[in-house]
Amino acid sequence: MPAIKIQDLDYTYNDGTVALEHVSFEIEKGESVALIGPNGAGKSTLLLHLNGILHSSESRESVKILGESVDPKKIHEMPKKIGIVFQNADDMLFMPLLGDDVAFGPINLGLDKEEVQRRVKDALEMVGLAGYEHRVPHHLSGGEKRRAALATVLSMEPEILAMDEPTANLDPKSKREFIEILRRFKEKGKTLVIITHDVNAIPELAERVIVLDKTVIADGPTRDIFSDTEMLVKIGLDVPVITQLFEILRCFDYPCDVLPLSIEGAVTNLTETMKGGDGHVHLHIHEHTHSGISSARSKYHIHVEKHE
Amino acid sequence: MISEIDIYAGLSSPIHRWDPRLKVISILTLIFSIMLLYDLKLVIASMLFAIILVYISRIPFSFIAGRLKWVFLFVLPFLIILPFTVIGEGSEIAHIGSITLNFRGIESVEFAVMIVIKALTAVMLIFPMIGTSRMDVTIKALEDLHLPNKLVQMLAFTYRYIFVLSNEFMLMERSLTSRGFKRGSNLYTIITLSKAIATLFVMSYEQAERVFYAMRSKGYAGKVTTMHEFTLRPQDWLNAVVVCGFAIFVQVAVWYGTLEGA
Repeated sequence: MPAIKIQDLDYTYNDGTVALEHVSFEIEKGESVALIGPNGAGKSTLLLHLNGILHSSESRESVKILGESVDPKKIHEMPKKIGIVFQNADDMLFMPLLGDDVAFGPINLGLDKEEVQRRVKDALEMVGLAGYEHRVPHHLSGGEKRRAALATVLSMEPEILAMDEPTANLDPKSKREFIEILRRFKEKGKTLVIITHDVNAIPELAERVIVLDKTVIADGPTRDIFSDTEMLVKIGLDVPVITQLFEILRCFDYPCDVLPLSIEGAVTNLTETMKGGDGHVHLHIHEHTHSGISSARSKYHIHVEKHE
Repeated sequence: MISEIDIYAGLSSPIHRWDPRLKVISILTLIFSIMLLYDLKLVIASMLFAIILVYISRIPFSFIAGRLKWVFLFVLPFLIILPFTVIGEGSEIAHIGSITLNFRGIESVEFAVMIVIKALTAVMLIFPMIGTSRMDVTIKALEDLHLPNKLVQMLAFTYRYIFVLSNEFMLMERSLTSRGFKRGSNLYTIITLSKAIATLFVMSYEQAERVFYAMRSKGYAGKVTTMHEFTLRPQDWLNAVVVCGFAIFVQVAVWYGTLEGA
């Protein structure tokens, strides 16, 4: 039984804007999937369909979570199955105290007081905000707010965690901390769906990528998707900086058949290359080097039409 | 950063240590009792009692005076108009066109002064009632007192989002200033700020929709419940007896005065 099954989902906003067209995919339990796509591709709209907040009469029964169709009349029952973390943390933290915000979901689930208190404590610990129960949300920093918003969902202990741009606008330290928290969640075998533009974070978090532009453009393992640079660049997306660097290094005769996607992959690749080269990495400039570099760089250069 | 509403909530005084539920009930009782008074002497006595409460709460009088001046401006027309408003008989003091200015006598001046003092006293009492506990604690106290849940939610959301909206407005103002906008006493300023406020309304509407989505995602089905624990000590009851006792005392005094008069 897949964790998420979407079959032929369509959605049009009241003003006539088509947001989703014939979207279909399945996500298995325990999978981590990144949902990428240009602005206005319908990613956030799709996310709101996962617990029935957005729905349309023509796409009834199109979304199934843990084997059951999402019923818009039973949205209040969905948090047990799927937790959604919105892009703007201020939208998620609506109670006077952070402790109340984290307890909000468990109280709605009808849990007893001791269990609610345990979940609040655990969720805040998990995101590194232990002891923040009596803090006022609007006094938290941007990074803390983002982690607090995640805690409000983790306290419901959902099977699936879906997040909209979790690392956007975070400073490097906060971003690192956030990625670590998500990695721990992933290691627990939970299903993770992440909407993101941060292509450098994807290899660390997701083994599969779905490219969405109103409909599913591509769906496959992260490495395969990032290998199809033409497709990504065509719809205005990017590949990780590390991948771009190693493609440039190849122009200097660096032996690399499979381009690394992350720093960890780069370290492994360099180590193996050095082992094969008696502890050295050999780079050379040839006649074709500069043309190779230009061609590699132009591939990622997004052309903007000039208006006279 | 401490929001203005909670600025003196961190002080230490007997009023701060008072259980917020009994504090709200007792001071509200006192406010209602003062509102029912129509005796200047008792109203003045109530104002003195309110001043004592404020003094005990250690909230600076200058802070309260700064806010009371707006209330005073609001009730000032009573002071000016009431002595010259005739219901029944009055002595004519001037005649301008079709308007006749009458003076109702010293009783009407007393009546006007009493209304102003009542208004100022009631507002003054709000400070020890609300300003001596953090707003979130007061909201929980109201929830514990079984105030209708919708009202509690409205208060909680107002407290939570007023800062977000004021921050948005501040950002908007900075953006305007950085593009050469200067506030002035002219139509352009009014139009520009009106447009900014209108945009803020649209933004707040959209944010309200997103917050509602977030609440629905967390199982909201119409009621917000929080966890809170309040404990009552003998001192809390004693404070309540003193404040409610005064509220009852002034009413008994009115009743006794009526009997005497009869």
